[in-house]
Amino acid sequence: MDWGFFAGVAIAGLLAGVMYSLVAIGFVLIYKTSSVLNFAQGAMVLFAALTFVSLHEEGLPFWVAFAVTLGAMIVLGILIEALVLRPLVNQPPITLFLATLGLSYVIEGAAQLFWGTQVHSLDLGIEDVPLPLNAILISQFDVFCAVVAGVIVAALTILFRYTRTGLAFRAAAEDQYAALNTGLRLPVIWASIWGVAGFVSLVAGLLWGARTGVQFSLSLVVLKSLPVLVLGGFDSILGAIVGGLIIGLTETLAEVYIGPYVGGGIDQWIAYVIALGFLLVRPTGLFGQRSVERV
Amino acid sequence: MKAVLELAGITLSFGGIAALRDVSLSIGEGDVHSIIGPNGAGKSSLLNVMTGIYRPDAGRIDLGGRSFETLRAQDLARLGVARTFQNVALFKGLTARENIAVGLTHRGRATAAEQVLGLGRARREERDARQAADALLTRFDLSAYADRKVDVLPYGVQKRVELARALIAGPKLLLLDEPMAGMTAGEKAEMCNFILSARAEHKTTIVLVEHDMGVVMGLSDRITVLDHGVRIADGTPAEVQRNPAVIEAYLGAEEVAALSRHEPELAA
Amino acid sequence: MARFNKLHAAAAALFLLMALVVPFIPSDYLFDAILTPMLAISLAALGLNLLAGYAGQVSLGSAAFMAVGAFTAYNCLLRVPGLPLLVDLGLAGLVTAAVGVFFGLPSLRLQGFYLAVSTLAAQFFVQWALTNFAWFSGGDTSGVITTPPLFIGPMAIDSPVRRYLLSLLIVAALTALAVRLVSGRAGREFLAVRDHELAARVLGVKILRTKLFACAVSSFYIGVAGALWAFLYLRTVEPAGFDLDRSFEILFVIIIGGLASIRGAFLGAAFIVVLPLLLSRAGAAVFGSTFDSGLVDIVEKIILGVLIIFFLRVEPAGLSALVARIRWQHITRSRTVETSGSLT
Ligand SMILES: Nc1ncnc2c1ncn2[C@@H]1O[C@H](COP(=O)(O)OP(=O)(O)O)[C@@H](O)[C@H]1O
Ligand SMILES: [Mg+2]
Repeated sequence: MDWGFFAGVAIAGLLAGVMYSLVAIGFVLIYKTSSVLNFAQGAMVLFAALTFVSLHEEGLPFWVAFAVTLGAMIVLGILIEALVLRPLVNQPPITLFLATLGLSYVIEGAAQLFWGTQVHSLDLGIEDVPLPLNAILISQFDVFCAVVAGVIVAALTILFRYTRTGLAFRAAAEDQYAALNTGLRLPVIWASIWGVAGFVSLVAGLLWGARTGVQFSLSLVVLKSLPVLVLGGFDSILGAIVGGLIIGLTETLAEVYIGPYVGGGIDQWIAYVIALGFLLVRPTGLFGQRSVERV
Repeated sequence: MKAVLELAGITLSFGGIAALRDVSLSIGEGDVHSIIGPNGAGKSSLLNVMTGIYRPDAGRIDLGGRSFETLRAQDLARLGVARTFQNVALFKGLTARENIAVGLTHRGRATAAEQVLGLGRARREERDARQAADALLTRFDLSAYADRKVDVLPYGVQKRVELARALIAGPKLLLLDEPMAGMTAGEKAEMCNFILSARAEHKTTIVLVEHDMGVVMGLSDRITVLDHGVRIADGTPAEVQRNPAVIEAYLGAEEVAALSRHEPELAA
Repeated sequence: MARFNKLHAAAAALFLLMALVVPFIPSDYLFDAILTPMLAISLAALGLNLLAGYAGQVSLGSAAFMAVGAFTAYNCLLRVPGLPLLVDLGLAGLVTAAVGVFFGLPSLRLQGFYLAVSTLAAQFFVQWALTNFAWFSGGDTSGVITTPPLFIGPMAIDSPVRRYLLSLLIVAALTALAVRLVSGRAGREFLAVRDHELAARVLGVKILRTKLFACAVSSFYIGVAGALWAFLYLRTVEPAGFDLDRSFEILFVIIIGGLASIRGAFLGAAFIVVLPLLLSRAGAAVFGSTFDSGLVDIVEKIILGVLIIFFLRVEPAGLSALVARIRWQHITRSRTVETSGSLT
C-alpha cells in the first residue's frame, strides 16, 4: 500500500469534512435553541452566497457586500422565526421539520427569482496552489477553509461557554418556559441565534461557492450535513465538527479504495450508511445527550 | 394481606439528580394506595418505574408474584396493569370511542388481511371492542362525546376518557397519576365515584397520586409519603396524618413550629 | 366497523363517473398528461400517507421506492415470460415492501427524524444502484428503456383510455383496501403510535411491529404506484425521473391534500398535477413569452413552499378538511367532520 497516497487522500477527506462541519454547525445552532431541525439551512447557504456574489458583481466592495448580505441573512432569520417557527411552536417536531422543508423551497425559489439561475464564479483571492507536504500535495485553499472553520468553531465555543449571552442561549435551549419566567427575552435570543446561523451560512456559502461556483447545487450541501448530524448528535457543536471530519474522511477513503470495485459514485450515499450504522450502536450520536421523555 | 406489587430498594436518578432513593413499598390487593408528596418529590417517577417507563438504577419489582429487574412497558397490558398519565396522554387523532377501544388492542388476534376483508374473527373483535367501549362511554357519562375527536373535548372529559381507556381491559392493577388535577369539586366527586366503582366491579387494586388531601384521606386504604425521592412515611390515612415527618415535609419547619402553638387545631 | 356511509357513497359515485363517463371524453391529452399521472401520484401519496399521515413516520424516499416498483415490474416481465400483468404489479409491490422494511428497520427503533434520514439513504442508494448496475435494466446501458407492450389477458393496453382505465381500476381497488385498513384496529394502532407512542406501548400496542407494518404497506402501495407511473404514464423506465424532488413532491401532496386522510391523497395529487399546467397557461397569458418553463418551475416552487407552510400553520388537515368544511356547511349542519376511523 502506498502510504503517501493514503495520507494525501485522508487529508483531502478531512478537509472536505471541515466544509460539511461548517454547514452542520448552522443546524446545531438552530436545533440547540429552538429544537427545530432546519432543513432550510442549505437554502440559506445558497441564498447567502448568491446574494453576496450578485452584490459583489454589481460592484460593491467585498466587505460592503459581506455586511449587506449578513444584514439580509439576519432579516431573513427574523422573518423565518416570526412567520414560520413561532406560530408552530407547540407542534410536534416533525411538523416543524416539514415547515422548514417548505421554507427551503420558498428561499431557493426566491433566490433564483431574484438573482437568476446562472452559475457565478466566486474568487476569494485565495490562490489554490498545491502545497507540498512531505510527498503529498494539499490544496492551499482547503487549508484556508479549515482555518476559517476552526476560527468560527473556537469563537462559537467561547460565545456559548463563557459569555452571558451564551448562557442565555443555553438556558433558552434547556427550558423555554423557565427561560421566559426568569425574564430572558426569547425573541431577542432567537433573533440573535438566527443572526449567528446566518453568518455561518454566509461563510459556508462563500467557501463552498468559491470551490464549486455559486449555483443551485449549493443548497444540496444540506444533504451532506444530515449524516454528519446523525453521527455527531443534533445538539452538539463539537459533534458537528468531529462528525464532519469522520464523514469527510471515510467518504473520501471509501470512494478512492472501494469505489472502483462497484463503479464509483458511492460518495452519494456512503455517508448515510456510516451514520446509520453508527446509529445502531449509539442512538444519540457521538456527543448528543440522552434524555428520558417526561410523562 | 397479599401484595399485588412490591418495590424493593428502588433508586433512580437523572443526570446526577436523584429522583428516587432506596424506595420500598408494597401495594396490597384490592387497596386504594395513595402516593403523596410535594411537587418534585418523585411520585410520577415512582409510577413510571412501576410501569416500566423509567428504568431504575437499582432495586427490584415484584408484580403478581413475578420478579422483574426491569419491567417492560409493552408487557403491562398482558400482565393486567393499566395506567393514566399526569399530562393527558390521549390519541388526539382518534375519537373518544376509538381511544377507549385502543385499550383492547393487545387482545386482538385478527390479522391485517382479516381486518381488511372483514372476516369472522376480525368482525367479532371489532364488534366486541365497540360494545365494550360503548358500555364504558355510558358508564362514564361520555356518550355525547363518543364520535368526537378527543383534542376538542374539555379537559375534565379528556381525563375521564383516559380513565375509561385504562379500564376497558379490566385491569387487576390501575395506576392513576393525578387524575383529578385541575378539576372542580363536583368533577372530583364524580371521578372518585368512577374510581370506586371500578374497584368494586373488578376488584382492581388502585395506586393513586393525588394532591387533594380531602380526596386522598377519603379514598385511601394506605398512603405512602415521598419527599425529595425518599419514602418518609407509610401507613393508614390516620397514621400518616399524625406523622411528624409528614407534617414537616408538607408545611416546612417554621410552620410546624408556629402550628405547635395551636395543638388542638392540628389534631382536628 | 366502518359502515357504508354518505362518504363512501360519494366515492363510489365518483368512481362510476370516472369509469363509465370520463372515458368518452375525446382528449388523449386529458388521459395521457393529466389523469393517468394523477392516478399514479395519488396512489403513491396514499401509500406515503399511510406511513407518514397515519403512523407518523416521515419518509423522504418515496421516489426511490417508486423506482424499485418500476424496475421490479420491468425485470419480472423481462425475465419471466408470460407473467400476467396484474401478478407482475403485485410482485412490484411486494419487492418494494421488502426494500421499505429493510430501510425502515434501523430507524424505526428510534423516534423522530431518523426515518427521514434513512429513507434519504434509500433515495440516494437506490438511484445509484439502478444507474450503476446494468443488470437492473436488463443489460441495457442507454439508461432509458421503453416498456414492453402490455396485455391483460388478450387485451392490449395500448391506448390512452385503456392505460387510464387500467390505472383507475388498480388505484380504486387499492384505495378501497386502504379505507378498510385504516378504519379498523390497524388504523387505530397507526394513529395511536403517531399521537402518543408511550401511551400506546403501555396499552400493549406493539410499536415496532406496527411501524414496520406501516412501512411495508406504504412501500407496497408506492411500489405499485411507481410501476404504474413508468408503465402507463411515462412508458419508459429510467432512474432519473425518480429523484429526490419527486420524493418531496409526494410528501407535499399529502401535506396539501391532508395528512391522515385517504381523499387528501387524491385532492393533493390533483392539485400538484394541475398547478404547473395552470401556471404556465396563466403566466403565458399575463407575461407573454418571457414566462418560460424555467420561470414556471421557480414560481411553482415558491407557491408550493408557501402552501406547505400555510397548510401546516392554518389547516394541518389540508384540502381534505377545507372540502369537508364546505360540504358540511352546504349539506348539513348537524354532523361532525369525518373521523379517521372506525367504530363510528
Ligand atoms: N424524564 C425526566 N428527565 C429528567 N428529570 C426528570 C424526569 N422525570 C422526572 N425528573 C426529575 O425527577 C424529580 C421528580 O420528579 P417527578 O417524579 O415528576 O415528581 P412529582 O411527580 O412528585 O412531582 C424532579 O426533580 C424532576 O425534575
Ligand atoms: Mg408528577
